[in-house]
Amino acid sequence: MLERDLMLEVCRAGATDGARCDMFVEATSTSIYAGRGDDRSVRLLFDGGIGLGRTGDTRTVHVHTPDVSEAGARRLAGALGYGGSFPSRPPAAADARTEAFASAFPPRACDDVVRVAREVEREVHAVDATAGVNLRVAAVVRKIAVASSEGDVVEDVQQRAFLSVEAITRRGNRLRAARRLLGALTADGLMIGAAHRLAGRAAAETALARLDAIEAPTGELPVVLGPGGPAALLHEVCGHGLEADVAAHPGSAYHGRIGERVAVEGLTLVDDPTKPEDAPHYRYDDEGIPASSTTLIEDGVLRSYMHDRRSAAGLATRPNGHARRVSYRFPALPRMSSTFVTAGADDPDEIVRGVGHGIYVRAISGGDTDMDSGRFTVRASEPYLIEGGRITAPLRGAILAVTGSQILRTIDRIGNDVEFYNHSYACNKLDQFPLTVSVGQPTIRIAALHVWGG
Amino acid sequence: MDVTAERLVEFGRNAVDAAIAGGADAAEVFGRYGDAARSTLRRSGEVAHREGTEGSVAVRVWRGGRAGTATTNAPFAEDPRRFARRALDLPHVPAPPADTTLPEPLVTGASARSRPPDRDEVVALMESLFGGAASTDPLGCQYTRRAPWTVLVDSEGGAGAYASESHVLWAWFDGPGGHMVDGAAATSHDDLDVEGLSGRIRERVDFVRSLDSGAPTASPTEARVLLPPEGGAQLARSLGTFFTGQNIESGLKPLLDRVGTKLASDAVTLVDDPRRRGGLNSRPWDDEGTPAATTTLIENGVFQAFLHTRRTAAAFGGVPGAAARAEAWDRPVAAPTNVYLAPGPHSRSDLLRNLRDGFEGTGLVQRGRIDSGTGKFTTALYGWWVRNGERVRPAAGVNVSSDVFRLLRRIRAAASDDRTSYLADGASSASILVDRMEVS
Repeated sequence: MLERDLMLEVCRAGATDGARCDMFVEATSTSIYAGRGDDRSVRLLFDGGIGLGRTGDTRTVHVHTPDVSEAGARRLAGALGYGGSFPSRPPAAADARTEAFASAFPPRACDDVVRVAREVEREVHAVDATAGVNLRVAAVVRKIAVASSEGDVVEDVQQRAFLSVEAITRRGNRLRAARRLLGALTADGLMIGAAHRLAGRAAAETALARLDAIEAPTGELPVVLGPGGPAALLHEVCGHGLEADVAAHPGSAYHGRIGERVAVEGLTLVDDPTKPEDAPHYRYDDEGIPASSTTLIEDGVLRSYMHDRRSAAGLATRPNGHARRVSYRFPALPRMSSTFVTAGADDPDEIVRGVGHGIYVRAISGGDTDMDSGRFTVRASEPYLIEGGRITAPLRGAILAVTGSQILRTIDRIGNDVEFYNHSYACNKLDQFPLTVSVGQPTIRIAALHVWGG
Repeated sequence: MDVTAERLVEFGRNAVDAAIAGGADAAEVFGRYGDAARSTLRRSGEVAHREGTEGSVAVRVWRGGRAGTATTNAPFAEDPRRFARRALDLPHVPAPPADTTLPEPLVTGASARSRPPDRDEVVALMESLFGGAASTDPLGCQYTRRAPWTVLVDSEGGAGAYASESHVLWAWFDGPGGHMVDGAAATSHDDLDVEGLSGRIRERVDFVRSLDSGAPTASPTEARVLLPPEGGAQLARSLGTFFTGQNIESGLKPLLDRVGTKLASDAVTLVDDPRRRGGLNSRPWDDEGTPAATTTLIENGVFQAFLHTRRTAAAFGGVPGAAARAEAWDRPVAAPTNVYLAPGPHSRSDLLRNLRDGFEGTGLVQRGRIDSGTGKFTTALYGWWVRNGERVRPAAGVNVSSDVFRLLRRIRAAASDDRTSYLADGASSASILVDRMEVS
C-alpha cells in the first residue's frame, strides 16, 4: 500500500524530542446485507487511510487522512507539530488508494453474503411463515501495514464474517423476538455444516416459544450463564478492567493486584487473538506486535493485563499483542480480542440441577459498564426460569446488576462445555466503537445476582 | 459555497451521471463528510489529540426494481465512475424506487464556519475546568469538534449541500459513586458555557468527596424524582426516537388513534425543531430532501404527531420531514433533530421545594433509553435523597425507571433551567419533576 522505506522515513521524521511515532495504514472492504422487514440492502464499503501518531511522556497526537499516498503521508508528518491546524487540501492522486482497495476486495464476497442471507430467511419462514426477520450478514477483509520510528514494519490481512438473525413472531398483539449470532472467517465459513440455516431455525423456534414468556422474578437469585454468548458478561465486568490503561488508574478494580486472588479457584480467563483456531482475529496487533495468548486470571489469581506498547513501558514489561484500534483514525489502545473462560470440571446439566429457584441466561444483549469499578447493569435477552433444577418458562427479559469482582468471587460451578461467540460482539471503549471481539465460556453458575424484570 | 461543498456536489453529480450512463434507472448520492478533532485531558496531565477527516459518501443505484449501494470514505480520492461501477456490479436486491428529491435551485445552509481552536487553546480551556481540583482527583475531560458537510444528489437534477458544526466539551470524574459525567455543547467554540460547566464540576468534586462508598444500596422502591436537565434531555431524545413512523409499523399502531387525545400531563410539551437557532442538528432539509419544519409531538399533554419519513407519512397520514440516514440502512428512518421538552415558568429551586420527599438527581451516570420490548424508560443518576425538601444523603448510581406512558402522565412540572445536552445528540430540557418513578 505504501513503500516500507517511505513509512519508516515519515515515522522517523515525526519522532522528535524522544517521542515515539507510529504509522498505521489500512484498506478495508466490507460487504453487508441488511434486511429488516420488507427493507433489503446490499452495500459494499471501502474505508482506508493513514493514521500517524506521536507519543511522548504525557502528550499524544494522532492525525489521519484518507489519502493513501506519499503526499498524504508527508502531510501528516507536517501536521504533527503543535499550534498548527490540520491542512484540509484535497489529496493528489486517486490511483494508489483505489489500487489498494481493489486488491483488498475479494471478488465474490457480496455474492456469498447475499446467498447466506437468503438461505437464512428461507429457514426462518420455514418455521413460521409470518415471522418478521431482521438480518445482517457482513464479510470484512482488512489489510494493514504498521511502521514505527523504532524501525519495524509488519503487514497483515485479517478477515471475519458475521451473521445476526432476529426472528419476530406474533400472537395477537403480543410480539416476541429471539436472535442468533454466528461468526466465521469468511461468508463461506458461515455456511459450514449449514450453521447459518440452523441459526435461522433456532431464532424462529425460540421466538415462538417466547410468546409464552412470563415476567422475571426480582431479587437476589442464583444465575446460570449458558455456554458461549453470556461470556459477554465477563467481557464487560472484568475484561475492560484488565486492559492495562484502565488498570493503571488507582482505585480501578484490578490496579496493583497482579499476583493476588481475584476470583474463585478453578477460574481461568484468557485473551488469545489466535482463538478460536478456525476464526482467529489477527497475527499482529495494530502496533505490529505478534499476537499471543495472555492468561489474565489463572486458577483465580490475577496474572497479567492486556497491554499496548505504552502501558507495557509504564509497567516495565513487554507488550503482549493487545493493541487494537477501530480504524486508522484512532490511536491503538489495550483491547480485548478473543476472551474466554477455560473449561472447568462440572457437568452443565448437573449445574442446572443444583438450582432450586433461579435464572438461566442463554444470551446477553448489552448493558452499561463503569470500566474502572466494573459495576454494571446488563440485559439478559433470553432468560429462562429454573425451578426445581429444571429450565422451565422463558422470561420476558431480565436485568442483572453487580460488579465484576462480586461475580468472580461468587461463581460456584464451572462447566466443561466451552463455546465461543466468534466475531459476534461489538465492544465499546471510550469513543472507539464498534470493535469486533469474540467471547467464550462454559456453563457457569453464579451463586447470587441482583435480578429484576426488564 | 466553499470549495469543499462544491467538490462534494460535483463528485455526487459525476457519480450519479456515471450510474445512469452505466444502465441504472435511478441513482442518488448521500454523504456526511468533513473535519473532526478530539482532545482528551486527564487531571494527571496526560493529553491526547486526534484529528482528521471523517465521514463517508454513498452512491445507491436502482435497476429493474433492485438496488445496491457502494460507500467510500474518501470521495476526493475516488474516480466517480469507478465508484458508481462498484455499485452497479453488486448483486442487487429488491428495493422500492428512490424517494429522494431536492427542491430546486441548489439549496445550501450556512457555509460560514466558526474559527476552530488550536490544540493549545483547547488544552488551556480544558485545564480551566479543573480549577480547584487536586492533581490526584480522578478527573478527565474531552473536547470534540465536528464540522461536516451533508451532501445529497438525486438523478432528477437536484443537488444540495449544507454545513453543520458541533462543539462538545464534557468532563468525567470517578469515585465511590462510579463514573459521573457533565458537559456542555454548542455550535461554536465561543458559545460553549464553560463557566457554567466549570461551576458544576466544582460542585461534583465536592459531591464525590461526600459520597460514602460503604453506604448500602437502596432497595427498589417508588419515589418522587427530580430529573436534572441532562436526564430530561435523555428522556426527550428517547421520546423523539419512540414516536416515529417506523415504530408505528413495529407495534405503536394503536397510538394512531390517540392523536389529538391526552397522553401526558399538562406540563409536557415535546417539540422537534430542525430549524432551531444554535441547534446542534439544525438543517435546511432532511435526509430525503424534504424542507425542514418544526413538529410538535405533544402539546400541553395532548399527543399531536409522529415524526415521519416520506414513506411513513404517506402510509399513516402524517407530514414528512424527519428522515435520517443510519449507516447500515439505505432506506431512511425518522429520527429527532433538535428535540426538546419545553421549559416551564418555575425555577429548579421551586421544583426542589415541591419534591418534599424523594430523589433529587443532579447529574447523569448512564444514558437514558426506552426499552422497545418493555416500553420502560431507564436512566441512572447521582444526586441526593431529600426529606421535607432538605438534602439528607448523597447517592450515586441510582437507577430510575418507569413505563413511558405512566411517566408522561406523572410529569408534574418542568423548570426554567433548560440546557442543550452534551450527550443526547441535539436534545435539550430543563429539570423535570416526576411524581413517581421506580428507584433502585
